[in-house]
Amino acid sequence: MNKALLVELLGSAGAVAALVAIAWWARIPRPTPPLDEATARSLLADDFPDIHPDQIWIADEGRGAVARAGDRALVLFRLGDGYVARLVAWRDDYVGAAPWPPKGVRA
Amino acid sequence: MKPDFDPVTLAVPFFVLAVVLEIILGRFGKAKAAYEPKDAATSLLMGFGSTIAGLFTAGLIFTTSLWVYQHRLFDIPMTAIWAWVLIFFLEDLTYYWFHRLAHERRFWWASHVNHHSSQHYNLTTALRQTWTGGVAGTWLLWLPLSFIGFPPAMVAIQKGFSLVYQFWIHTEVIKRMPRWFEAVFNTPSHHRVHHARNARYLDANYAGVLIIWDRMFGTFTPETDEEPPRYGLVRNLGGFNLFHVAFHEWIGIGKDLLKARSLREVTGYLFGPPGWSPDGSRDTSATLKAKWRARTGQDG
Repeated sequence: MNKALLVELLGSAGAVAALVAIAWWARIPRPTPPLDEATARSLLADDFPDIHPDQIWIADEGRGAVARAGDRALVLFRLGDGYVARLVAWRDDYVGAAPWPPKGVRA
Repeated sequence: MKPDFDPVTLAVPFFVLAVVLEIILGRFGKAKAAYEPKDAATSLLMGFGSTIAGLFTAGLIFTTSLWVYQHRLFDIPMTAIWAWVLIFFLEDLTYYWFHRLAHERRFWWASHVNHHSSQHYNLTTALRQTWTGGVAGTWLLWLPLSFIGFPPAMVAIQKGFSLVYQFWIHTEVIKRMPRWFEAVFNTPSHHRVHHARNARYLDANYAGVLIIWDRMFGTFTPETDEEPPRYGLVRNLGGFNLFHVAFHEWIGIGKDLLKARSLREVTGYLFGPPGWSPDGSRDTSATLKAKWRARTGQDG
């Protein structure tokens, strides 16, 4: 590896570390207060606008939710300062499950 | 295998300072900018990894470009202003079609999807670059420029200028540019639409520098205040693992190919639009947009 390339890569690695440190220092993520039912429904509607769940349960102290639409489960879980939604087959043990999200749902 | 004058390398200090400025403006409430450290780290490390991954295919790309240039149609001087004007338009048109292909056909989407995997839209998102672009072979699309007669170094420099231009448009700090600028150039507003996962905004605004190509080829969609863009993928990733970000769609293709039962299915899984499935049970951008139109009665 030539010296210029090595300097470029080391410099880039240093810059990455510095920028992540500044982003951490700034503390400017999106606000993510604990979910309530209305917010969870709204977030699920963004991902699954044609599915209208019958019931919804808040999970993980407001960091997630699960909704039931027939034999399907609409699952929400927190990732960083955002949420990720998944559509999976319904299971009764999703209600009150811990840790959240239930195993196999995240992928 | 970079040209002696590499706009991207020269612009790196500007990239760093611009990210710092965006964070500081956000920190002190002077502009709209949200940063999540893990998300920003993922974007920056994808950019770093992209530089390293590029080293493995740089030789092949350089050698191929040189070989094509040796069989060129014309001798185009690198010192002529008209040649730079011409390559600006031709390279940007090439970029448009590369970018459209990278969204509308799964094989190339697999290498580009990582750039869209952040739920944030800030300057670090610009640096969330592919690790597999060289393998996907999209660089082949630029070879006709060398065949026409543009020196490979000239093509590489112009590609670099285009990449540098596209950095600053990955921001929410700038709402709209002057109307004349929005009409001709790719802007933060146009590119926010491109990064949005809202059904109405899917597969739109593929431009590199000039938005005129989208207007000409029917893929332009304006940003509307009534529906702010939500960023990320139609099906967002469930974590920040770099290798998952870089390779998840390739793995998805591999799994689908193992299930394929005919040549039609193999072709569909590889070169169909992302989301293609033999029975139509998965959504593509086109089906999502059709459902949105049916739901809202809007035309988009």
